[in-house]
Amino acid sequence: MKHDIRTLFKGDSFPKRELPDSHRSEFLEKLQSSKKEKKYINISILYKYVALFIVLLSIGIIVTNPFSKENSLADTALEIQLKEIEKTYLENIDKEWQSFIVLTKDKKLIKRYENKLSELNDGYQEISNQYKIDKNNMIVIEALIENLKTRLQLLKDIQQHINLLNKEHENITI
Amino acid sequence: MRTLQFKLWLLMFLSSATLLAQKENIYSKNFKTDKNTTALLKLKGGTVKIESSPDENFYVEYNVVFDNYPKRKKKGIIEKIEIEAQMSDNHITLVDKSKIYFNARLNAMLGNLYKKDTSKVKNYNKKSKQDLIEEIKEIRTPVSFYEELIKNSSRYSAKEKEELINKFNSRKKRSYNKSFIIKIPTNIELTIDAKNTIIRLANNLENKLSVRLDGGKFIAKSLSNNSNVIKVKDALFLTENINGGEFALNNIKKGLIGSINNINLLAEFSNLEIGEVQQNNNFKGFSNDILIHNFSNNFNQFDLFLEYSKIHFFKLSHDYELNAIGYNTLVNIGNIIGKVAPQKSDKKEKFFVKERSGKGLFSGIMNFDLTHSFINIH
Repeated sequence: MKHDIRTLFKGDSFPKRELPDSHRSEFLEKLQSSKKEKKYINISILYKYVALFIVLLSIGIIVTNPFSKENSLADTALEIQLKEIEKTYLENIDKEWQSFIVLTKDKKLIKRYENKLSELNDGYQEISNQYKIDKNNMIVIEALIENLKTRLQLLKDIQQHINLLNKEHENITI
Repeated sequence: MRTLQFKLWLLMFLSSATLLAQKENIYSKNFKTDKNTTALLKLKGGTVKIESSPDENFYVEYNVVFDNYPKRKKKGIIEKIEIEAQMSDNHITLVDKSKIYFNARLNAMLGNLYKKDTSKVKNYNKKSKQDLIEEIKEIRTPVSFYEELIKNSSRYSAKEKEELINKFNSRKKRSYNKSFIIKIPTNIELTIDAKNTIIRLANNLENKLSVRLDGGKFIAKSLSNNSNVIKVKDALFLTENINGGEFALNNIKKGLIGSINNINLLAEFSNLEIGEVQQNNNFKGFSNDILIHNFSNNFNQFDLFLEYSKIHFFKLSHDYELNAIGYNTLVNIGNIIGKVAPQKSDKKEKFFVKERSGKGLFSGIMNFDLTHSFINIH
């Protein structure tokens, strides 16, 4: 059943139909609308995927990043350490205060030291507020410790002064 | 040819250096003054240098010199500086509204730094007035915060300190240096209300000064005015010469004064070292450690009222008289207890007298009123 393909469509068997005048414009319109629809859907999906990817990546970094973990742990450790230091100093200051008020009967002296310590405590509160804003600033942390140190040193120095006076007087009396 | 090459290199070097270090004028203003003009400076943080004006004008200059500093960051630094100066009814008001709290905290810390190593006067080696002035000059020389921190740290040995500072200085740094200068005419009255600030008073200022500084540093070359009122708290206090005025010092961890003349000084919780006590000084104090190196040969009268304190001074080369009243006070002469004031009596008694010998030049009388204290004569 061999055919010459050049003669295959020469007959009337192939239906002949006239295209409408608006065919071209209708076709272009359909093409345009289908293109728009397709583009919109693609970008929207792409955005969703990108957003999902960013969220997942961020979670991944936060959860798995060892540096982030170390930092947050270090911050917490520093805070704990500072609280410990503060607690120890305040306990010692209180202890020194108690022994100071036992050592001296000079009410004027006690009052003056009370005022000085209260003044230093006000300063400490001021620095503490700064620390709450900037917890990693070593200067603020050092200023806090320095304030506590000053209070403790003042109490130790005055007691040493009184003790030395008392001791020298005892030596002379003997 | 070689000379030409050298010149070209030099030109390139100079132009590049100019590019690297750039000076920006942030604020500049001046006011005409007369003998009735008064001025108030309200400062918080930062450093201010106050010097004599070359004429009758009051000048305010604020410059920042940037060295290798990135352009985008410069804006941020400049934006934080805010100075307001105005004059009304012959009164100048200058307010530093700069957002430099970080600097203020640094200054507050620097004022306290010195207590780590030198919180108590321990070495009682006699120094001349000039020795002490040289020491003041050395300490007052501005150095970087890092250098000052390392120098005063007790964590490192002297060798480690030197290595750290050299390493820091050899590094190419991005830095900026603020210079806030106020020039005041001779006749105006100046009031300074400052917190955590480094105040540098240059020249021999004869203006009437009222200063209140809480935290930071008070550094002055020479202050001469009988009406001065200077109150400094929690700070470093360095002054070469003081002539006249009232001074209230509180919690001064390191106070070095070259000489005092005709002053009233009230000190609490402080460590002070004085090069020379000159004429007619009055000193009241509570819980201090005071070291006086010299008395001038005509100190005339020195009145000292101390409670819970230690006063150290060195034997005078000229004739003098000393009268001490009080209670619960010990006199140590060359580490040997010389005299003791009654311990338990609250009534002040004359307990120590050093009469004038009548030989040679008579330099003056010391009147001590001491309770719960030590007099150490070295």
